[in-house]
Amino acid sequence: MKPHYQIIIIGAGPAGGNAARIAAEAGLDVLLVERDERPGLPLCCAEGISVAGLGAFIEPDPVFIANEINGLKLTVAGGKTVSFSPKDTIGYVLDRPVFESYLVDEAVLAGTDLLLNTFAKGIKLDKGQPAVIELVQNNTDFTIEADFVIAADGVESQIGKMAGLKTELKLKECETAIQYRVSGIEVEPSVLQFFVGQKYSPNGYIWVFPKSSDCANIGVGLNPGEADNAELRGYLDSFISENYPLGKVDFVSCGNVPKFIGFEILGKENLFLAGDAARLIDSLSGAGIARALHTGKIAAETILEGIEQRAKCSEIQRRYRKTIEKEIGWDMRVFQKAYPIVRKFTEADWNCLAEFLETYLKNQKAESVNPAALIKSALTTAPGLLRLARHIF
Amino acid sequence: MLKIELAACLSCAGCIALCPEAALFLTSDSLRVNQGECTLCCLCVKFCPVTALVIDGKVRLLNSEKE
Repeated sequence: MKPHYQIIIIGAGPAGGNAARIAAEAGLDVLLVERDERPGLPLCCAEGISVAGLGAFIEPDPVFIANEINGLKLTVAGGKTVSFSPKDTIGYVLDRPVFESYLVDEAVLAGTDLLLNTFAKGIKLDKGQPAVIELVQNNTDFTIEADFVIAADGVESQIGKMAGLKTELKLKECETAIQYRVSGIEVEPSVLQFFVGQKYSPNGYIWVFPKSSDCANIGVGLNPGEADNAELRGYLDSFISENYPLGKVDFVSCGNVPKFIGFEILGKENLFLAGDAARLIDSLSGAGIARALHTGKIAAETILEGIEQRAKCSEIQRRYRKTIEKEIGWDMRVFQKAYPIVRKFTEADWNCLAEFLETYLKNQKAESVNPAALIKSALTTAPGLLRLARHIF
Repeated sequence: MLKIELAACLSCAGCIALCPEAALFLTSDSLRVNQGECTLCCLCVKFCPVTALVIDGKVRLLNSEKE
């Protein structure tokens, strides 16, 4: 460990791990700081990712892939069930702790210095000066300087808040979620299942993401701004006792899934926020792993280019935002606009969507389906949904 | 007073993201609250997926959701 690094990355999740790997492979002097004793824990994730979402950033490896997915199924309470079953693999259920360890190992192999069990408790930014990070490890405080900082410290990001970014979250802008790892069940191993309607969640959905043919991540989310969080666990327990009465709960995880609210908290001076810390999470699905890998990469590459060209921090910030805007802006905004509509869907609305999907997805190839384009198309062309979305898109 | 039911809390840190006063924090073994900073706004209570956060004693529901 040195007193000064070119980049310090806070958080060894998908955003931080990928940023560290890319920056170190390019020859930069990188320190990766992780609060927990190993990357990937505690698990607060359903572990699903699309083929493109993973493959664009890292070669898929059986070491961290628990299960391959080639089908999606949506079930509306008391209504329609629609399936999408293309021939090809469309996604994976990861083993997140192994995945994160894999990314971090790659980063360390490329030359990243790694500090585990280390909490970043403060940051000082000063124009034109290196950032000063206050760290705590085993009750010992120390500081390290960095030319650039990437905050990839997740949903609860405190680095952004400490730096004065407006990271305050409202109840209506997040989802409270709980998930059980259930084993001893029979489940279609290659199909991700989604259950919607009042019976399952007042304004969210239940997911069944299989880890194998006898084990799955089964969870539920709801928006606590408009529904009672005390009811959350009851929805999941009812679902499991009805559908998987013999299932054994191996462990419980939970978490906060914030909604994307725009690209306003991407950074300032020489601090850059990536992944969940910048709330780059798809508002409808809650998916965040691919966005984290992606924005970790963009952060590392933009800083790298800035260093090579001796660009000003303000210019690097501008490029970071511009690249993110260009590469994921359209999709993020479609989900953001769709979320307030979909959150209020009745069973009848869900049935309209299911009907639309049935026609739309017939004979579609997996790679030609863009989820954002699909949802926009549904909300602007499905006859039953037009009245809800007319003024939105 | 905000009370943390440690037996129920899974240290997901979701409440930390919501706390407007940064009164909640994780130590290496558990979630803690800095009572001096907590304004009993109850955002965390209304969020917690496992209802591990409860108001103990006199309930003072101030600006429960700042809009």
